[in-house]
Amino acid sequence: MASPGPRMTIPTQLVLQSFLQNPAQELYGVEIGNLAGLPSGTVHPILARMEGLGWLTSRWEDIDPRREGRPARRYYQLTAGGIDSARAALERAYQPSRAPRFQPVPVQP
Amino acid sequence: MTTQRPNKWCCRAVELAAWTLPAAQRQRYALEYIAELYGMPPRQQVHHAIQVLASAWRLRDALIQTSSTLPQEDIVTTKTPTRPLLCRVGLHQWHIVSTPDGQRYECCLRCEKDRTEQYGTPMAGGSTSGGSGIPAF
Repeated sequence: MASPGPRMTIPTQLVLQSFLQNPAQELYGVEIGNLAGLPSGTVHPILARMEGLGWLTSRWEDIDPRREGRPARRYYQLTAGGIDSARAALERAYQPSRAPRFQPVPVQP
Repeated sequence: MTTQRPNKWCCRAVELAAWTLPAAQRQRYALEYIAELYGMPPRQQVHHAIQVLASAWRLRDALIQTSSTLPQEDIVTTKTPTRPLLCRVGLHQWHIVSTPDGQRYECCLRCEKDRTEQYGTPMAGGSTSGGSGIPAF
């Protein structure tokens, strides 16, 4: 069963949607920001929350920094449980209200 | 292939952002932020460094919060099983609140319902495109 997740704010939904486009893909911070359409540098608090919940895992890129000429990036990926939880949380976020709505009743002449 | 080193002031700025984080996480985020600056055009480096600095406190809050999270089963059992009458008929008491990492959203003070759930579709743009905005899984 999917665990109850965090508050599904719009940036959180956008970040999860970015991951769910290709759940097996690993992404780093700037890529996630670009995919989600969020300003770069603002996704890390969301990623930290998701990682704390166990929805995401992260690892350092396996490269030789001298050869690549840049340091290793930190890559994030949805966990198996995180995929289900994220999908369930997004569905819940889009669930229409069940509260009764008052609608005008047509008057019969 | 060699990538040009990022601007040193941008590196200092992201290191400063990492310095505000809990000690156990500082090194990781400093390295992560600097690695992300590589390959960016200079203008984007400045923009990125400012955004990282601006969101540093939210990240700090998120890290502190997640390091002391209660077991999720406990959170579930503390939920109120019934909703107040006014909320059941759709008369919520909306209030702007923040998530642990500082994102703001509207939430009913009585039943804790989110405003995004009420209206179904997100209001902002981004990767959503028409319809419900949920990608087809």
